[in-house]
Parts: sequence; C-alpha cells; structure tokens
Amino acid sequence: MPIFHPVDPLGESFPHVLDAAREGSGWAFEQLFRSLAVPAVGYLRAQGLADPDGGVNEVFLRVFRSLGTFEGPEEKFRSWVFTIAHHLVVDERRAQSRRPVTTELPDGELGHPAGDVEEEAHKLLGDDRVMELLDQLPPLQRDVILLRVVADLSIDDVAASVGRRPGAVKALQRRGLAALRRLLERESVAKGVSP
Amino acid sequence: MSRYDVDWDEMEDLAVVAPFFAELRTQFAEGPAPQIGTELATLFVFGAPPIGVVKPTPAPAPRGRTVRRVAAGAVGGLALVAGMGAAGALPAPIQEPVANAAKLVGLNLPHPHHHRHPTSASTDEKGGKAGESPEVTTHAHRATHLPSDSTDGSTVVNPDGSTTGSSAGTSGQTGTTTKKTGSGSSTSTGNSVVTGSGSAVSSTGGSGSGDHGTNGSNQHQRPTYHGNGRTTRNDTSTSTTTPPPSDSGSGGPSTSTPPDTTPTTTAPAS
Repeated sequence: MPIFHPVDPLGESFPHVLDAAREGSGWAFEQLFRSLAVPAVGYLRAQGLADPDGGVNEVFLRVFRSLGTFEGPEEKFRSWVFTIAHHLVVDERRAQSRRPVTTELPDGELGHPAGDVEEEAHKLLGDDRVMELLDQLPPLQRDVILLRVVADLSIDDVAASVGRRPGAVKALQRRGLAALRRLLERESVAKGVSP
Repeated sequence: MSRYDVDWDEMEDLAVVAPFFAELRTQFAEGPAPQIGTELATLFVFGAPPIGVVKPTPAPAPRGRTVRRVAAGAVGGLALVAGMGAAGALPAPIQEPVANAAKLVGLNLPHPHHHRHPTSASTDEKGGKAGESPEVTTHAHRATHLPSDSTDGSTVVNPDGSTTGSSAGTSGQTGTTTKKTGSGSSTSTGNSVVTGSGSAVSSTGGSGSGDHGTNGSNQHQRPTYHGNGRTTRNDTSTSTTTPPPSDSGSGGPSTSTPPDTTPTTTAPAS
C-alpha cells in the first residue's frame, strides 16, 4: 500500500482544493488527506485505538462522503475532521465496552500454566511512558488534552468536537493539567527513590 | 508558535507538563503517516462523482414553538377563567359576560351581583330576632342562581321561626330562592319561592307575627331556607330599617323579583 507523507497546511489553495474535491478530483482528495492524516492518525493512536490506520481511513472516507455539507476555511475543516475522528473514538469506546477483549495466543501456549498476569498485561500494553500517563487520565480530560496538543485545536474547536461548552472544556483542561502535573511529580519522586 | 501554546491559562501547570506535551506532540502529531486503504487509494486515483454542495437547512423557525406556547397559555387561561366562572369567583364585570357566553354553549354559570344595597342589609334583621328565627342564613344573591336539587318539597320557614308548609313543585334544575317577607300587622306571611327559571311558587306560611313588621323583603340580604328546613342567618345586625313599601306590603302578597328573573309570584292574600 502506498504511504503518503504529510504536507503543510494548504493555506490559500484550500478553497480551490475543496472545490476540486467536491467535483470529484482524486488529487484534491489526496491533498486534503495528506494535510491532516498524520495528526489524525496520531490522535487515534494516542486514544488507544486498536487500528489507528484503519481508523483514519474511515475518518477520511466519512469526510469525503460528507464534503458537500462542509463550508468554511481550512481551520474549520481541521476542526471538522478531528470532530469526526473524535466521534470514531467514542464509537470505538462504546463498542469495546460491549465486547470482551480477545487476544490471540501463540501456538503451543494453550496448555501451559498461566504466568504472571500483571507482567503479561504490561507486555500487551507496552511500556510507553506517554501512553501510561494518558491512560491514568479520565476519558474527557484525555480527550481535551489530546485535541489541544495533538490536534492543535483551540478551546472553541475542542468544545465543538466534544459537544461541550468552552467553559467546561477549560475546566476539563485545568483538571487534566493538574492531574498530569501530579502524575509527573509522583513519577519523578519514584525515580529519585528507586535505584 | 502553535495555538495550543498561547491560550493555555494554567501556565504554572503547563510549565511542569510542557516537556510531556513536547514528547506527546513528537510522538503522535509528528509521527509516521498512516497507510492508505484500498478504498481511499481508489478514490485518490480515480476520483469520485461530483458532490453537490448541500446548503445547511435552516433551523426550524421558533414559530412552531411559539404557537404551541401561546396555544397552551390560551387553553390554560381559558380553563382558569372557566373554573373561576363556574365557582362564581370572577369579578362582576367579568362574571357576567362569562356567564352569558357559557349560556350560549349550554352551561349555567352563576351571574354576578348586580344590585347590592348595603343599606338594606339590616332590613331582614328586625324580623330575625334571636329566638324567633334561630338559624337563618343569608345567602349572597349569587346563591339564588345556583342550581339546587333540594327544591322539591322544600320547607319554608316563617319569620317567627316556625317551619310550615312546603312549596312543592319547584324546578329541580334551577336554583330556588325563598324570600321571607314580613307582615306588618296581618297574620299571614307570604313566602315565595322563586325558581331560577323565572317561575315562582308561593306558599302560605304560618302565622306571621306583628313583631316582624319590619321584616321587609330584600332582594339581597334575603334569608334562604334550605330544603331541610334549617335556616341560618349570617348578618347579626339588629338595626331597624323600614323596608321599601313597594317590596313588601303589610300582610299583602309578597313579590319576589330577582334581578335576572321575572318570577310570577302568587302569594295568597291572607
């Protein structure tokens, strides 16, 4: 499969590209995709989606199908794309809460006695420090922090994406920052104590 | 400088977590590009049919909601007026048209007091001395129009307190008004029962007493005698007031004329 590399924001050419995409031009779809695909897939990955690449494909297919309903500048387009990505995350969370988590075991391990569950879980989740810290945030605070940092959205855009008022988003951001600060301070203390 | 760098308002916390945010951004916002799926790749190569711009449909005008609210308010107001009208609790200038309007649809609502003469309120009291009319109730004029089911065989109480006679045959659907007329000197007392339908049935009561000569007929402070024969009086005034000569004669036939009825009163002369 081809791998596209990100491009800078489209800038002044955005209206022209948008009109061309509405006309059905393949190159215009590709330009729109390349302008936002990297932060979009990063957002989905940071949210812990099992298949972020498939998720970002689904996001842009939804975007292109609904392109006729969009009207506005490039910044609004960015906010719109991340709103759709966030909705995909919410859908995925709901789906995960309804179905049990299944994991394929390597051949020959079925008959073996169970090992250390905690160690196995860490192995599955990985030891990514950033993800560990993010996992300790409540979902809404995590959404706000990621939309602000990874998606680079403003408070109002985040509020539109998560369906809350800007004041509520500011409060969530404040609590998220405080929680992250406590986590980081605790982490540094633990590192200082431990050999 | 990125937008997320300028409108954070918790700079103290941000200073602590800034390295973490930088790591977060490097790892996710600037990470590897995603793989393109078959569907998107096909779209990029071959394009798609033109997509028409769909103008967002305007939000439904609040007219519907306003109309519903106004209609709900109107229905509520109408119900309130109707309820108060049925209870006779509306002010007189409103009660009258409401009662008239209700009559058009077959509802019989009480009418307001039209002719209230405060000075005559005590005219009944002379004849209603304690001991002679132990329990006499002076109903408001409105009561004369209220429906009553106890008209048949209602007992009429004479001014002296004795319960005699009955005026049977009054309308059961309309209110009854029993008017007590005093007789100045004669022994007969005309007791007329006025039906709401305008017909009045009079009955001769027992012997009237001369003491009750001042007990003139009064349209507004008249005592009403209930079907059970018990009557009460609210007004305790004992002032002596000479009744209007045209309303009740001394020993003559009594005449009852409610404001909105034209009763035919036939009280036998003594």
